[in-house]
Amino acid sequence: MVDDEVQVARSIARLLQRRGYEVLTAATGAEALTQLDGVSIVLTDLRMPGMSGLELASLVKRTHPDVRCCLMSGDGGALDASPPPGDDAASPIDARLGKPFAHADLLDVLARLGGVP
Amino acid sequence: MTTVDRWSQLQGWYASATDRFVPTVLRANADDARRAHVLVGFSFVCVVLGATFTVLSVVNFPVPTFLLAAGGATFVSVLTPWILLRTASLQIATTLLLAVFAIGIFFSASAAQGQQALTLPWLAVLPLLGASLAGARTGIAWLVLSVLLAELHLALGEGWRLAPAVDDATAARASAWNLALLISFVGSFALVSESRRRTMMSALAQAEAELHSARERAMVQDRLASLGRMAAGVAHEINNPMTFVSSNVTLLREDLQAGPLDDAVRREYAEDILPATEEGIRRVIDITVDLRRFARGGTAPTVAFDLNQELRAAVRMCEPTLGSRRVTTNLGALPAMRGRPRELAQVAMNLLVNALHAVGETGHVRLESELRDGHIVLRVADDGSGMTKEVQARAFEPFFTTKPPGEGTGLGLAVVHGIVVAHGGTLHLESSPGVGTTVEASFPTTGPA
Repeated sequence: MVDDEVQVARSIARLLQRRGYEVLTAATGAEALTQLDGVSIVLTDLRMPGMSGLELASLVKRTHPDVRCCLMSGDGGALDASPPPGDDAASPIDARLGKPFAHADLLDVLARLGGVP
Repeated sequence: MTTVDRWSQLQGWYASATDRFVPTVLRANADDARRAHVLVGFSFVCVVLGATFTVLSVVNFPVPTFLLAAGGATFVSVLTPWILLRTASLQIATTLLLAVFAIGIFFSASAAQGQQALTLPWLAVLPLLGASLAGARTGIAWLVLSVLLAELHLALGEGWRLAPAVDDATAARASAWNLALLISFVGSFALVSESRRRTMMSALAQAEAELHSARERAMVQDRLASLGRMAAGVAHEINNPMTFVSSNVTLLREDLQAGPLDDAVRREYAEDILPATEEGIRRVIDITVDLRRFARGGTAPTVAFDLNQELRAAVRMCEPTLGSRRVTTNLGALPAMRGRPRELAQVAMNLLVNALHAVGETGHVRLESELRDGHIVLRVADDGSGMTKEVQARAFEPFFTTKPPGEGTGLGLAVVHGIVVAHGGTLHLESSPGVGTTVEASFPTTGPA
């Protein structure tokens, strides 16, 4: 769970941990790249200082092609402008989630991406 | 077909006929293009005038020199558009047209009539026409030539005759026709130039109108673009805190539904989760309050107050966060100011926060006030990172920020701007990267209207 807004990362992590998921948090893309081993899904904010969520997803796919990536943003326009998941084989994004989201939507996305609690 | 239709059809033919003979090189310069059009149109008129005069010469004045001059003038008038097209020189074409028309008639009339001939007015109009058609240099050349010809005319004297003398009655008639020709010549030139000037003016007015509407469109688009950016900014700044507020609340509900909370979980809620949630809610409230202030200014009543006192309060509020940064104040004697003191304190506070952010760990910020030209001036200057031109251009735009999330909403300067304007003041920002930034607010002592 990658978000430069620490409270977002922590609250989502806490919620998912209650559901039995094992969750790692990171505040920057660079930090996230160091803890990819054993990770099956990356949830990342889009707009972050330094590396954007989109750049992070591209780098993740290069070294860990099996890891699924979900892009999140509070800026709906910017999220819509990111490469759509699925349609485009080159898109590093497997799902998109607009902030704020209902708890159920998040769990749906995780289930769709093959996440196992 | 109505008269108006015929007239506009005629104008169309005329315009396309003159346009055909304007050389490409002269089109590059609007002034040259206009002169070329006038010269071509004028030469059309000269063909008619020359031909009329040729016929009159044959009928009235069977003198070879008259005939030669009038026929030559007609011939050169016909040739002028092609000469212009071939040489692409206004000077050459103009000189030929004027020379044959004016000098030809000067010589023919003088030759047959001596000093009785009405030739001097021709010499007077030559420099004028030369300057109008081909520019100042051609005008000056014709001025010199005209003076020389006038002197020659007088020097030749009463007794001089090249051609056989005509009788007085014929000479008088010749003079009358000569004058009529001169008047038509100058008059038609004036008409042709005026019609061209009007065409140019209406084209200019049209271009200006188009430019104006293009500028309006660009402004509307710019406003829409910044509105769009602002909406996206509002959404982003509110959606982020709402994300963790909503997931924390969901978590709390689920935990409560699951049964009694054990001590560790209760402590986590009390010390961590709920304070963070409140902080998120406060951020959203701050944004809406700031937005309202940005939109309409404050609603508190205006009072007379001492600005310096508010500035000192703002500095005191910043002090706990200073670290090794320094804020120096230099507050001049000020008259009482009318307005909303808390808002002015916020102006100073926001400017100080920005300045302190810009100077990094060890910089220096100056807060100054003074009375200048009947205005109360408040100034915050820093020796920090400064802003690029791009950042400066957007600095007052709501939700534009260079700070990391949670540290700035991008409303600081927008709120400052809103408050300053609501107090009838003006705001001025000066910044260069690596040197620092100075923001100056200037208020009338009378306060908001």
